Amino acid sequence: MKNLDDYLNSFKNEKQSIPHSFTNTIKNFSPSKKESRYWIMRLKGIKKSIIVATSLLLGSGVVFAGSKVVENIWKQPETYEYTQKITQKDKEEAISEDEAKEKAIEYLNRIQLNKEVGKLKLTKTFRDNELVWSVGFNGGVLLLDKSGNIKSINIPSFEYKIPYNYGITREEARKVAKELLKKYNPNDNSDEYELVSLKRNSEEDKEAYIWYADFYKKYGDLYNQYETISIGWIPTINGLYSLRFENSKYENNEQIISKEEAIKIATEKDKQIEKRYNILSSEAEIGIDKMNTEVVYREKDIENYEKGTINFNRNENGQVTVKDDAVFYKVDNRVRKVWEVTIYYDHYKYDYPERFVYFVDSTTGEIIGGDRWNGTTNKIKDLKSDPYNVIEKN
Amino acid sequence: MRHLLGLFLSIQKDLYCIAKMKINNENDIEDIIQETMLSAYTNLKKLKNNSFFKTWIIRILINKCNQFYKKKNLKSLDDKQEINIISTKEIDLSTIEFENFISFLTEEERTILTLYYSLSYTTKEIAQILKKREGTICSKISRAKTKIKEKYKGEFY
Repeated sequence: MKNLDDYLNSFKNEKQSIPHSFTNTIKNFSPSKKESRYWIMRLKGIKKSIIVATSLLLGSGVVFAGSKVVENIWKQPETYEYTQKITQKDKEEAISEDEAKEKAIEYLNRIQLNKEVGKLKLTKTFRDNELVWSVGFNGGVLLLDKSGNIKSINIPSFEYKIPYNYGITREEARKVAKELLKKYNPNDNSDEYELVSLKRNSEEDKEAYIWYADFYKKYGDLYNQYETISIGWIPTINGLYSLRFENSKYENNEQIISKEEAIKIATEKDKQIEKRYNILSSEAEIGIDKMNTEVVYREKDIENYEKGTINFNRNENGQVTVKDDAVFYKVDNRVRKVWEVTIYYDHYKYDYPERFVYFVDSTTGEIIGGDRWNGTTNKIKDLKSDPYNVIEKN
Repeated sequence: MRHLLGLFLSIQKDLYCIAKMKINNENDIEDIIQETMLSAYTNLKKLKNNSFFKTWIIRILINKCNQFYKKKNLKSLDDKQEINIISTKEIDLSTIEFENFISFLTEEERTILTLYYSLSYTTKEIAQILKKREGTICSKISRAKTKIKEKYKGEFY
């Protein structure tokens, strides 16, 4: 049996042959001449916002004929009102309560957690203001996103009778992790995921017995940290402690922009933002990253961005609150092949040069996001080299 | 005018796939695309935000297709007289074309699945094109998939 979603997605790459007559119909279109002068001016505005040739990305102006025409994907980020309140629009955007309940029950039964589903609540996450259905069940909580996809499950460890001898070896943990992946993955594509992290709470932690495994979906040599399955479990009894899914699909876009072009694009942008330090060096590697607003916020207020206080404050009690003058931006949820361009500055902190990573889309050359420290590729390298990560070590 | 033609050419695949999902006859498709271009040309001032150009054009195209049905006095948009319904016994899933694979669905379902899977539009964009709520689009995708699973029993999970 095939996964229907994967099968339907495979039609994306289906070559649709467009009849010559259709193309010629477009090319030969000709409205009344008297209107054409006005519309050329208007259409130039549209052209800038949706089509760009690669030469535009290098600052030489729009070239239409003879260049590869690619479509812009980056749009000016929209602001949105940060509110924990559920509006009528939110209710219309999300699936209904009945549908959410049905999906929750279906999944819990599928993973043999035949629990009674209790209260459902449409709510928003604090940090990202994302709309989610919170579904309480006997012993834990399940979260669904607004489309009904499973986001996470949490079952407190006190729901279990912890076995006296709960220790397991690293080899056993690796084996169990892979078995649990097959059990809890809603789709039958576990072989597309790779175990990237396997850790246990430190022994000083009162819940030291809990193991955590993170699986990332792999595309050739690249990992998508936005298609992940993370499982926390209590060993020996293999009781589920936590489960988290992220399922932002990778678009597998074409690589057109070269490494040198990407570094140039990022450097030119950085000069507009970072005025305090000089660039020491830069490097780039291909990775899979998600569109985000990091560069937007950094450009707005670099000092507060670095402190993490652009929109949030932390008071003396450690509580995080929203600032009165906070402005929240949102972008499309798109995961793309990018050049992760790291720019190092001649300013050192803790013996390391300060840096910022730009995500330069490898197809359009647009800067679609960034990260304070690392792109996905370096994050994976750091994760794998973490001494507490026992994916391979004995 | 070159600019308008260029814009249309850049999205011609999307336009062709959507029109083909609704209209079988190639000559009719060409007529409709001409009407779409004329409508876009004469109503450009109504476009408030340039970044919505693509979804706006597609909405015009879909409206033109619907008007075509009314003009031709067809009984319903699900009139399958021209669509080749293939029995499931004849199907080779490795070679079947998308439009044939989903041919048994309603016109609206075929449009939504084409936009979502074949042309990679987001549910938000599809909601803008069809002037429906995003939650409704998600539900329709979910229901269409259920119908596909029932239709091709034992093939998909």
